[in-house]
Amino acid sequence: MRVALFVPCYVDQLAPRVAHATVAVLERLGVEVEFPLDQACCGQPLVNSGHVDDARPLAARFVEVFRGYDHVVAPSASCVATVRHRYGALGMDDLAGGDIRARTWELCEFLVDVLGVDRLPGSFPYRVGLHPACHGLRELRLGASSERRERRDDKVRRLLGSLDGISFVDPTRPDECCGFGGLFSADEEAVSVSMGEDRIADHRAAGAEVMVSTDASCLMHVAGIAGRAGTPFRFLHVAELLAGGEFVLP
Amino acid sequence: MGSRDEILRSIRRTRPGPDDGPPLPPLAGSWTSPPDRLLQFERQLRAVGGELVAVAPDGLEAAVRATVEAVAARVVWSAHVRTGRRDVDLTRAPHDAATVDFALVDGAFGVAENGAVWVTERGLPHRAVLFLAQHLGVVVSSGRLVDHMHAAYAEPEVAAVERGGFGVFISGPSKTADIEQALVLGAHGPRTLTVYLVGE
Amino acid sequence: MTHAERATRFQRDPARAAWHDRSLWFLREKRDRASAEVPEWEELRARAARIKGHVLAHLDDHLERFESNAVRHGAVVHWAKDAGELRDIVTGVLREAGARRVVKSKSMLTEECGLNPHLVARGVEVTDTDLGERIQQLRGERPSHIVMPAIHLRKEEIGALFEAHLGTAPGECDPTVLAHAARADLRRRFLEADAGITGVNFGVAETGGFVVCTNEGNADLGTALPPLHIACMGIEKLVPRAADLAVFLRLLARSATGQPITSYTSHFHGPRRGGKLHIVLVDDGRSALLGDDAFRRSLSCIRCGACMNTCPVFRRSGGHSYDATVPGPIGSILETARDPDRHASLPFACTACGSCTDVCPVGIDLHPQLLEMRRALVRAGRTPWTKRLAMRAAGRVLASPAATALLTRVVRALPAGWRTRWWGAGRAFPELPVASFRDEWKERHRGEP
Repeated sequence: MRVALFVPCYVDQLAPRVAHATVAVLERLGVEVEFPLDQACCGQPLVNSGHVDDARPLAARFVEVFRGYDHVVAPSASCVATVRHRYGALGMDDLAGGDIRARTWELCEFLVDVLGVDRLPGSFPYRVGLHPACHGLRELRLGASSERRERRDDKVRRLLGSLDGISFVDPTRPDECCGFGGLFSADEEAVSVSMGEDRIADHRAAGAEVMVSTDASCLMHVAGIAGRAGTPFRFLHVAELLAGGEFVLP
Repeated sequence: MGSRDEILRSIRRTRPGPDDGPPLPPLAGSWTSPPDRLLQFERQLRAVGGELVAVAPDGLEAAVRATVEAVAARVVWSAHVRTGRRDVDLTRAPHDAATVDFALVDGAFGVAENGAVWVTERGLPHRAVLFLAQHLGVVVSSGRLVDHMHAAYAEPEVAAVERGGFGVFISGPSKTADIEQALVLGAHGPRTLTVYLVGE
Repeated sequence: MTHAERATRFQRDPARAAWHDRSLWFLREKRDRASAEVPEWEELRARAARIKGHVLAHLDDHLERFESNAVRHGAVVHWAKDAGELRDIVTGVLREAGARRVVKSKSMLTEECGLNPHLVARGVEVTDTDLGERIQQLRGERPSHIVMPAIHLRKEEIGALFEAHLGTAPGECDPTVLAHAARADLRRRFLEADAGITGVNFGVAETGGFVVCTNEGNADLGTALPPLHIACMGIEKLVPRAADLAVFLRLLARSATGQPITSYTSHFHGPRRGGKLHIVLVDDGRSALLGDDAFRRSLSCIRCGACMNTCPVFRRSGGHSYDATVPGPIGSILETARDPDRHASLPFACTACGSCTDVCPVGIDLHPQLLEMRRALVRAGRTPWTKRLAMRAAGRVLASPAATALLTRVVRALPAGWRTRWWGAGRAFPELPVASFRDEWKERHRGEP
C-alpha cells in the first residue's frame, strides 16, 4: 500500500509539528509514508472564495502529484473536504476522474476506515475541549452533527478516547463554528473574532484545559484570539495527541 | 400576451424537463405512533397552553358550566343550542362575535402529535366566533383521536373541507412570543382553549 | 454598505450582540428539542425535498391545476409577473371594492414587492397584524427576521414604542401587558377593516385550496371579518396533494420556533360566505431562478427561518446587516440571485460551516449553493477587482512550493505592526517556526533516492 502525505501549505509553513505528528502516527502503525515534494496547495482558499478558474491549476496539480498512490492522507479535514466535495463540482468535474476523491483521507478517518484502527496506545491525562472542525463534521461526517437526528460514529472521539486518562468536556454548543472560514476571517473580522472568543469561552467554562481539533486552521485562529486576549489556553491538533509523545501542559 | 401566459411560458422554458427530477414520493410511510394516544394528546395540548377536560357524555354540560364560571364569561355562545346558551345572535354579521366571552364549538377529531383539533364551519353561522371569542371550548369525541398529521389528512372531515369551505387545525389558545420570546397566551384571538374529550 | 460593514457596526455593542446571539440560539435549541421528538425527522426532510423537487420540475402543470381548482371554489386568480404587477393588481382589487382600511398578516412576498408603501401612498391604511411586524411597522423599520420580526429589540424599546403609539404606561415593559395592549388595538382594526391581505404558506394543486399558518390567529381574524380576502402567493409555494401537507406541517413549526404546530393552521377553499377571495400568483424572478441548475433548489424554501437561527454569522450580525427582505443563508442565495449588484457581499458573510444545510427542513443544499453563488459573482465581475487580482496572485504563489516558502520568509521579516494590520487586531500572529515541514523532511531524507 503506497501512502502519500499531503501537508496543507499553512501547516507546512506555520505548524509543521502537526505534519511531523501525522507522520509519527502513521509510522507507529507500520505505514510507510511518502511525501511527494512537488505537492502544492489543494486550492481550498481559491475554491471557497469563488475563484475557481484560478484554483483549477492547483487542483489539476494535486490530482497529478498524487496519481500513483493508493491513499493520500492529510491532517486537515478542510483540505480533504475540498478534494472530496468541491473538485467534482464548481465546474471542475473533469478533475474528479482518476478517483482522487475516493483515495484522499483525513487522518482520523484513514485510521478508522482504512486501517481499521480505533485505539492507539498513549496517554493524555487532561480535560479536552474537542472542537469538531466544520468541514470534518458536516462534509466528511467524521461524527454526528448536533443538527441532525441520526446516530453516527464519532471517529475522532473514538480514537482520542482510547488514550489513557483523557476526558472530554461538554461545551454548551458542541459544534458551533470557530469563525475562521478562510478569507472570512479577514473579510468579516469583527464577527470572526467574536465567534472565536465564544468558542474559547464555551470550552473554558466547560472546564477544558486544552482545545483539540482536526484542523490546524481553526486552532491557529482561536489560538491567535486567546493570545491577543492573554488567555492561557493550549491548542493541539489530534495528530499531536495520537503521536504518542509526552505532554506536560501548563 | 397576458402575464399568465408569459409566466407559464417562462416556466416551461426554465424548468427541468418533466422526466428529470425525482418522482413524487408515495403518501404511505412508517410513521411513529405514540404508545398512548390519549396521553400524548393531553401532554401536547398542555404543552401548547391548552386545557383538557375528559368527561362522560352526560358530564359535558357541567364541565362547560365550570369553564364559564372559571373565566367569568357573561356572554356565552354554544353550537349546541339545546344544551348550551346562545346569549347573542351570530347569524347577522361575523363582527357580532366580538362580544362573546366563551364560545363552545364542535371539533371533528384531535391529533395526538401536536394537541391540535380540526374545526370546520359546520354548525357555525360564521367562522369568526372561533377567533373572536375571548375563550374557546371545543368538544371532541375521545374515540376520534389520530396519531399524527398523516392520519389527520385521511379523515373524512378534512376531505369534506377540501371539496369546498374552511377548516382549521387549532392547537392551544392564540399566542405570541414576539416580545423577547416571552410566551404570551391570548394574543389577538382566544385567551384560553379547552378541549372537552367526551367518552363514548 | 456591505454586510461586513453593517456587521462591524452591529458588533460595536458587544453586550447587545451577545444578547442577540443568545436569543437566536435559543430558537435553535427549541428546534433541536422539537425535532428530537420525531424519530423519522430525517425521513421527513428527505420526503419534503423530493416533493418540492417534483413540484419545481412540473411547476406549470401544478400551477394550472391549482388555478382551475381554486376558480372552481369561487376564487378569482390573478397572475403577476413582477413586484410592480402585484402592487397594481392588489391596488386595483382594493379600489374596485372601495376598500380603504386593510389588515395584513405576515407575507414576505408582499414585503419583497414593496406593497405597503405603495398602498399607503394611494390613501389605503394598512395595518400589519402579526405582532412582530406591527412593532416594526410602528418603528418604520423592516423586519430583522422572517419569523420573529422584532427579535432584535429589547422589551424596554417595545415598551417605549407602545407608550408613544398605543398609550401604554411609561416604563411598562412586561411582555404580557404590551401584547394585550396590541391585542386591544388590533382587534379594533380587524373589526373595522374592509379587506384582509394574507400570504400563503402552501397552495395545494390537487384541491385549489391553500394553507396559512399563524400563532396569533391574525390571518383568520383578518379574513373572517372583512368581506374581501386577497391571498398573495409565490408561484413556488405549491404542494401537489393535500396529504403532502402532513409532511410539511410536521416540519415547519418545529423548524421555525420549536412548536409541534402553530396555533392556527387554516385551510381556505374559496371565499367565505358573503365574501370574495382573490389569489395573486407572483413570479418576480422565480421562473428565472427555476432555470438555474445551481440555485433552483433554493425555491423549495418554506420560509421557516431555521437557517437564520442556526447561522453563527446571522446571530452575531443581525438580520438588518443583510439589507434584504429575506436575510440569512437562504436570503443570501435568493436575494443575491435577484439583485446581485446590491447583495454581492452576502454570500461571503459565511464560513461555509454547513449548519444551515443540516437544519433546512426541505433539504436545500444551502452552503454549497452559497459557494456556487460566490463563483457566479466572481465570474460576473461583481467582486472587488483588488480581491480578484490578489487571489490570482495567490494562486500563482501557492502553486509553487518555492514561492510559498519565499512568501513566508517575507512575512516573517515584516514589522509586527504590518502583520497585525493584515492578520487583524483581534488575533495574535502565530509564532513562526524556524523551519518548514518540507525543509525538515528533506533534511531527514537527504541522500535517499
